[in-house]
Amino acid sequence: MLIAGQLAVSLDNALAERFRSLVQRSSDVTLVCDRDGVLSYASAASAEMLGIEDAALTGRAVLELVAVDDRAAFDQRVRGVSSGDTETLECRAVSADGSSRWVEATFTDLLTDAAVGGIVVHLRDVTERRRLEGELRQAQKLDSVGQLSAGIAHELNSPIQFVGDNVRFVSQAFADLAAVVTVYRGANAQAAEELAVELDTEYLLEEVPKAIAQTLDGVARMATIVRAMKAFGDPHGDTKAWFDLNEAVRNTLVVADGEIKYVADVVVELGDLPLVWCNLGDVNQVVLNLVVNAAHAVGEAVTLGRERGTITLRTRCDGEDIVLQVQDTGIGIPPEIAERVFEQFFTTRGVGRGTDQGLSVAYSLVHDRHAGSIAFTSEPGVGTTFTVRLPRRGSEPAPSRAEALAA
Amino acid sequence: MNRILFVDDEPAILDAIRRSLRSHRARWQMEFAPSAACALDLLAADTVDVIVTDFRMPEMDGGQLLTVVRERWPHTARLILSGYSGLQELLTTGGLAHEYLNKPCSSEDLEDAIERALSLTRPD
Repeated sequence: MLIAGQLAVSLDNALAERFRSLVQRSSDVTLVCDRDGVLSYASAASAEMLGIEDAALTGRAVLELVAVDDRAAFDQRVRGVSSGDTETLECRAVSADGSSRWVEATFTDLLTDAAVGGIVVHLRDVTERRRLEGELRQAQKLDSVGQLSAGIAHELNSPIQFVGDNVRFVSQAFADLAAVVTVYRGANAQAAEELAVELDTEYLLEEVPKAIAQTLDGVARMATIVRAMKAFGDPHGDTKAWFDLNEAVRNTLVVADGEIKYVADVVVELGDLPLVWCNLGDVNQVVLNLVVNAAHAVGEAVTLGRERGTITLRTRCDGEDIVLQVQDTGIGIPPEIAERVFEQFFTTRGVGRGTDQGLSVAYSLVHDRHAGSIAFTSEPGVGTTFTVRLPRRGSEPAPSRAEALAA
Repeated sequence: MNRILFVDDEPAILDAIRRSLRSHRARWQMEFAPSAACALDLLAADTVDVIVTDFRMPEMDGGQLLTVVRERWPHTARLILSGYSGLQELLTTGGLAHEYLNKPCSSEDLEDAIERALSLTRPD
């Protein structure tokens, strides 16, 4: 019995040694703390990831390792994770030198496990993954804007064409009128009258104001297009701000006009909306992708011989959510692919027709970046309605409007 | 007098072309159609020497219009004036258009193209 007992102890020791070694050699950081976040253990990787020796962390607050903005969410999980359960959070960890990196934190309650007796927090560095995701997102945005560029160029070229022609005409008209005026000044009324008839000054007097009015209108149109296009760049990077969703609808309709106007009429029913806490570029992109998707669905129906369709955009406020609906009278989504339309890299298009990632990008921007939801109902041959819900205060605690303006 | 027909769904473009080519009014009888259907009426009414059409238009587009023109009025020279790039090769090598002009196009370039087209239609 004694020998068997000793054998069991040494087996236990060998196992414990093995697991300690596995934890210590992992590039992920393993932390153990109590409900109040006081650390009782840190694995060796903390030196590598955070620049703090593991021994130096014992007794310190785990929240010291977390960026100020993420502390509330982190603390909530340390205190809230229930026994046998696991929670995760993407947040920024702060190194000894003050730099921060993105980590995926996993929280497991092992308080009742005698061997651990604490909340286990696992930190995995996801900085690189997030950077690649950001690049992919940006590439997909550029892809969708790129697909629109031919249409936008067309929309810009029309006013440039008539503005140019009109200015040329006005310049010639002015030269002609000036010639007549010069003869008048020479007090040769007879010659002036003859020249005026020859140059048809009546026509010029009638047409010049119209040419100027159309020119100003054309310049205004170009400015509107350029202004709307800017909203689709990424001027604010990853940051969020208070934004009017109706503005995103208006921007989109300007930029996507070239895609829509030959296949569908647009109906806009914009509700009175409070501002929503979001990333401007993302939300513009979501509306754009849904509208372009609707235009393509209607375009395909028109190609199949159907009449011009209708695209309806509605916005409304529903409690704490802002709701956007994009309805089309297009070909509809066949039930067999309904579950896959939001999947990344799922496409119904042939090679060489763009990457067709509009819906998966919209899903990721709404769901992952704004804690919102996106869903659709569709009837093949009749049309599709997409519904986006965005929590108007955003996924994380948003500053008050006054704070946001002051920032 | 040569008869030139311009087709564009944007009225401001037609107005501006009419004004900028005004100095040719003694030599050219210029007609303006805001749609392909209207253009076909004008073609049926009297001989057109040169047609200059936009490409992207609702209902019937410029390509469809020129297909009809080529068939029914083969002696009418066909030009496209479009802000939509990327179709040039397709349309000119396909024989649908004699020339493809990109918007924005200066009135000088448009005049030159019309003159070239007129020289095609003259039986000399």
